[in-house]
This record gives sequence, structure tokens and C-alpha cells, in this order.
Amino acid sequence: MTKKTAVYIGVISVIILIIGYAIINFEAKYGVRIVENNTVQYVESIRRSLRYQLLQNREEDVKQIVEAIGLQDQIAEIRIFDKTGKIIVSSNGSNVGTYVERNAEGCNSCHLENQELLIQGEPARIYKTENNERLIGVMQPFYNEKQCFECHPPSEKILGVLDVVVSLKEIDYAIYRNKQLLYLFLLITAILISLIIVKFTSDLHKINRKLIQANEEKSEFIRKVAHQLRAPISAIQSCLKVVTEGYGPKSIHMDMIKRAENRTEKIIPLVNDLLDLATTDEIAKNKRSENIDLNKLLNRLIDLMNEKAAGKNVKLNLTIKEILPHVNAGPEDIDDVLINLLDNAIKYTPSGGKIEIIGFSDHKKIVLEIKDTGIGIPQEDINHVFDEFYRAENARIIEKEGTGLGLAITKKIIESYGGDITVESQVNIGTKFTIILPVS
Amino acid sequence: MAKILIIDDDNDLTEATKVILESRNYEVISADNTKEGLLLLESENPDLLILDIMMENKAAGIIISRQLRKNPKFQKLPILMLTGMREQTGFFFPGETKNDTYLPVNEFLEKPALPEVLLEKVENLLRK
Repeated sequence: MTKKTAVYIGVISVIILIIGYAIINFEAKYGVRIVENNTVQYVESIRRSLRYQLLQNREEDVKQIVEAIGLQDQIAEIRIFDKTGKIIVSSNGSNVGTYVERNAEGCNSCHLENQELLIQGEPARIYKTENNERLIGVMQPFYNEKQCFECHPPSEKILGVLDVVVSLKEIDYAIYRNKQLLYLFLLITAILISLIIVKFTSDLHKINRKLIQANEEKSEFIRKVAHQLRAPISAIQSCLKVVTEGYGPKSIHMDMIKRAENRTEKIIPLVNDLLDLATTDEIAKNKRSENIDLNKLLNRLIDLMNEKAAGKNVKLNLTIKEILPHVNAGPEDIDDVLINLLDNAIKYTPSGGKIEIIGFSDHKKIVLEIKDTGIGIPQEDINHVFDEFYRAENARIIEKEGTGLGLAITKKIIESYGGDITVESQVNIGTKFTIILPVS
Repeated sequence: MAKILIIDDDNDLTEATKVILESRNYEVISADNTKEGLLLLESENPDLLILDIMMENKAAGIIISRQLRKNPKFQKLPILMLTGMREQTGFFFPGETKNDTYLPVNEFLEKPALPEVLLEKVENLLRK
């Protein structure tokens, strides 16, 4: 999983959480408001119908109506108080919950603080039952219809209040359900984010391990370099000590100095190869590369190496099966690689032998084979030929002073262009190096 | 006069060592590979062996020294091991914590060796 995906998941989760939270809040607020409005309208309609019955003193009718209304699912209780607070009519069974009774002693006991409310009608009250169920209560006074009393003389019985209490069960259940959904989503998000964190930490661990390994490899390489330098320096020092401290006959001193000088000269190619090896990595990223015509380059190199091969009586033969497409690389790098491989092939192929260079390609890659009839590489050495400072035993016999870095550099160069190099060999039969380069 | 055999694939170093040892009248013979070295060991019967630890990509010196310790003929032959690889083997110089099973030699000498140190160690080993 990429960092981008993780960020997307995080952002989307947060957005969904915010939206979910907003929906629940909206539901809680406006859902109740809607129920309240509906209740107010409903209560108003009941009040209008009851008003007439009350004015006519038809108490039985009023009771029946109230009880019928009280039977409805959503209605918790419906009651009519008189002005002293005494309950005149009540739907006795509560379908929803127990309405917490208040000892109302007349309207003023509750409405003392704001007389205005008595006239305007009090806004809905929200209660909770013992079961934590929410109820909304709406009161409407019969009191404020002054125009009725203009014709009908007010009697004690009709001067009262209609109180309807409605359950908020449904809306609360919807809110509850949505909250559950939101919690579920939160849980999933939390799990996802923890998984991402775990993945990231393990990725970091992997990167860390790789870095540690790379560092160890570098240290190991430095140790090898130190060892490679120590050998010639030790020899040089010993030879020079013989002279400066006057060991042995004078006649041998010039020989010692010459040996020291020779070894000094042989350190130079080692140092140069080390520099090449170090810079191959760094330069690879911003190397000057161009489209190279391998057909031309190979012909030029064959011309260049022919003299050396002829000097050893080795035949050099180039076969390009079809015109090779261009390759994108630094021209000097490709020169270095091929010269190194051809030079090795000439060096390790006995007189009368043959070196074949074969080039072919498909649309994606170019394959170059360099095949010799040389001494070959022993089985135990073949897996190490690209290792730094590694030299096969039979190669040491032919050339004592190799740095053991040539093939390591070659491999690094080819890999820096996205290519690959492999080797097959049989002792005393020959060696074949195969280079694969991507088409530009 | 004591006879010393040097087995080391670095010819220049061997030549210089030879001159230094010969100046103290030791007889010095040398081989630059293990095969030849073992042949000389059999035929020349040297009194001391100076052995390079790393030859031909391998720790050939370690292998030879172990072989010699198993051979009754060379069990007592003093071996001075020349090494440029202190870091890689984890030995402590001069030989206090050396492991006789792992590397059964009498003395170590780290390259590059100063002539007087070399001569002193050779003398000590031959005196024993």
C-alpha cells in the first residue's frame, strides 16, 4: 500500500465521520422539531374539536374522545386540566411510558415566571420517563379564546388546559440506529488506520534493514579495499626497508628499489578502478546519455581490438544478425564495458582460438554475446566473477596482476542502464558473456 | 645454519624478507603457491616456516597450518604466520588470545612487518 492510498483512506474516513456526525445532529435537532410541530398542530386540532364539546358541557363525549385519542400508539397521555390544576379528563392507560406527574396547582404554579406563555401557549417540553424514554409534551389552553366567552359565559369546567404528551420513540430509535452505524464505521476506520500504521512501520523496518545491510556491505568493501592496498604497501615498505636499513649486499638494493617502484605503479590501476566503481553509482543518475548506434560502435571496437587479438593469433569475429536498434547510454560507458570484456577474452584465450561477438534484438531488448574459446571459469569461481576483488585461480596464473574489479565495474555500468549481464563457462572450452540492454 | 621456508604469493615481499633473513645468515627458500610450498617442505626439511595467511582467494595458510599439525613429521615445526587480515579473523596480537585449534601456529606477524621485529620473532622461534 502506498502512502497516497493511506492518506486517501484517512481523509475519506474523516469526511464520512464528519458527515455522519452532522446527519445524527440534524436528525436529533430537526427530527424533534418536526415531531414538535406536528404535535402542536395535532393538539390544536384536538383542542378545536374538544372546545365545542366542553362548551356544551358534554363531559361523556369529551371523555370518550380523549380515551380514543389516548389509544393511539404515539400518544403517551392526553389530559385536560381545569384552571385550578385538577385533572378533569385523562386517558388513563399510557401506551408509551409513565408520564412523570407534576402536582400542578393551577396554571400559575408552573407559569408564574412568564405570564405571556399562558396566552401564547407554552413551547413543547421534553421529558424523560423512568425507562429513559423521551417524551414531548404540548399544552394548549382553552383559556385564550376570548371570543368564545364573549357569547358563552365562562364556566369553571371549560376554563382549562389540554395537555398532550407524545412519544419520541421513533425518532430516538432512528438516531440510535444511525449512531450505531457511525460507531461501526469508526471501528472499521480505526482498524484500517491501525493496519496502515502497522504496514508503514513494517515498511520502515524493511527499509531500515536494507540500509543496515547496505552499510555493512560498504564496510565489508572498505575492508577488502584496505586489504588490497595493504599487500602492495607492505611489499613496498619491506623492499625499501632493506635499502634504508642496509640489509644484504649493496648489489641487491637497486633490485629492491625497482620492485618497490613497480608495485607503486600497479597501485595506480587499482585506485583508478576503485574510483570508477564508486562513480558508476553516483553518476548513473545524472549521466550524459545519448542514443548510441551499436552497429557502428561494435565495428569500431572490433577494429580497435583486432591488432591485439592478431598479436596473440586469436580470431575476432562480429556477427550482427539484424540491424540493432539504438540504445540510450553514455557512449564511454558502453565502450568501457565492451573493451573490458574483449580484453579479457583475448587475454584468456590461447593462441589459435576464436572470439565471436554476436548481436541481435527484439523490440524491447538488445542482446550482445561475447563468446571465446579460452581457458574458461571453474565451477567454484563462476558465481563470484562479478564480486569485487575476486579472481579465479586459473586467471591468476595467466595474469598475476589484475585488480579483480573489471567485471564488478562492468556489471554496475550495465545495471545502471537497466540492463543485465550473465556468464556461462566451461573450463578449457570457453566462456560466454551475455549482455542484455533495453532498447531506447 | 637454520633453514627457513617462506610460502607467500607476493614475490616482492618474499624477496625483501629473503634479503633481510639472509643478512643474518639464515638459509632461505621460498614458494609462491601452496602446492610448491608443500613439496619444498617435504624435500628440504626447513627449521622454520613463514606462512602467508591468504593465498589464492582462500585462507590457504590456515589450512596448511592445520594439515601440518596433524602430520607427526611437522608437528613440532615452528610456524610464523604473516597476516594482513587482523580485522577479518578477530585475532589479538601478539597472539595472546589465539586459538590453537582454529589456527595452530606459534607466532603471528602483521603485514607490513618491520625487519627488526621479523628477525626477533624468527630468532625466538628457532631458539625454542
